[in-house]
Amino acid sequence: MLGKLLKNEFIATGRIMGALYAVVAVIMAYVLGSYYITKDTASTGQMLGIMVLLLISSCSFILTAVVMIMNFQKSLYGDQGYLSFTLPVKGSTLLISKIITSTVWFVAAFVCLMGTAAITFFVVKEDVIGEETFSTIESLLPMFLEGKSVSTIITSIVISMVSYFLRFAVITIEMYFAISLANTRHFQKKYLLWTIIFTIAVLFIVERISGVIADNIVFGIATVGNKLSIITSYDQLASGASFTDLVSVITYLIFGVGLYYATFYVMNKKVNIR
Amino acid sequence: MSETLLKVRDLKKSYGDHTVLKGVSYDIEQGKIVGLLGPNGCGKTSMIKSIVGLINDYEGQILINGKAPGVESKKIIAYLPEKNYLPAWMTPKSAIKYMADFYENFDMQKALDMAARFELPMKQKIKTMSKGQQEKLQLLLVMSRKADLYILDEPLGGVDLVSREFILDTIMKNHAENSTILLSTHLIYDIEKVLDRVLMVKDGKLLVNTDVSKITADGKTVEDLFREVFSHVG
Repeated sequence: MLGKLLKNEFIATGRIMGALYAVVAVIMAYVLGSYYITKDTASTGQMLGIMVLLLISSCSFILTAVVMIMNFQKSLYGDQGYLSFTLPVKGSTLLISKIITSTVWFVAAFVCLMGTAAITFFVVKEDVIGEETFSTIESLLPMFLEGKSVSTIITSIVISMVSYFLRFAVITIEMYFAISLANTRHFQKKYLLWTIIFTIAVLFIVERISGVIADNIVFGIATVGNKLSIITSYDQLASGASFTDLVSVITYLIFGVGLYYATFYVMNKKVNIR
Repeated sequence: MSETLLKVRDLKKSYGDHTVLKGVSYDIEQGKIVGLLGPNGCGKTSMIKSIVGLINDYEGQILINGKAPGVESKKIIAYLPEKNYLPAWMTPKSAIKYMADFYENFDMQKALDMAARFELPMKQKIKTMSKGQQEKLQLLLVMSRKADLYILDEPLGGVDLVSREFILDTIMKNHAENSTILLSTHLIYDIEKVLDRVLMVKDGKLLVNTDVSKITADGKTVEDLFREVFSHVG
């Protein structure tokens, strides 16, 4: 049933988010395509395209959050809740499908931002044409990769990506917990106001506690050459080694699991569909 | 004697200090058409929402085919709420596909046939359809399922006499064989001829739970009894 829920979640949210990223893809294709055809950079068309990309990219996280909040509120606690909660699926499956969908759209926003940054760099870097951009990257890359094996680099990238994706998932659960709480009896009449208040409060609390934990606990992976090692103190960090923090990953994981169960409890035990 | 499909015991539900259900108990047998009757605000919808799984913080016990409301009960209950619950962006075509996706007992061909008979615009968005068309769509989505229990909350409310006849006719002709129907309404006259049993609810209490045959054996109609119970006789 999770697959069917996901399919329908993406259909429901994809009307806005899909259209947005289709526009992004078309503009990116235009900017890059026009370069390959004309070998010209920083043309008026390209600059206009980049401005639109920058605008969309800078708004995409907020837009994703707004669309996800509206979809969650409407499809569970609005009139559509009569449909969602009478489907023959577990409440946990329903919640997980919404978390996955939202996380994917947040990742899409992240990719959009990265893609826009790369294209902007490619096209407008001090009027330098594309080939020089590549040669700049080629000259910088060995400094970053120096002495590191492919597996070490991949491990670092995977941990960074997991960390980002996990953070997006936790942001989603934070929002869903806030919405669910705002739809309990005491807050239901002004649920929109309470959703905003609870979302800000939960985000602030999670960030604050995560920050305090990260400041006081050292736990991560040190990379020296081809060697990966776990360290629990900065004293163990050799000179020239790079450090991948795992404390924030674990903290967000714990917050994510805790808030998931809290949301599930509130959704199933405390919210009455109006 | 038929098997009990729905068992409700000492059902209580409060919203803060306001108690809407005050210990309701009854059984509904398989294959019966039961009217859940009472004025607006008497607790009918809260009772139905508890049975279908929209309200979970009730006291008492609800068993559907021997199981508490959950995934298994939702598979065999076809529920028609008072509200328009379909997303505005859906079309009749996508709504039918959606239901077919989730309910194994959903008969897609039957749904398409009914949609054609109801002359529903299959590719038109629900938000642009008339209220009557939206109600017909919701009705066909429910009646296209081979459910064990149909729960219909005020399906006749807010529509004219001709529409009421049409809705009732659709329900009677399309419900699955040997299925049970729990039909909530305050419009007694229209449905009394199809009912096997009536439950009358007032202020969260079940005041009447009897077979229609027993009412008629006393020379009364369901409407007469309704008027007596709710003191509507002038």
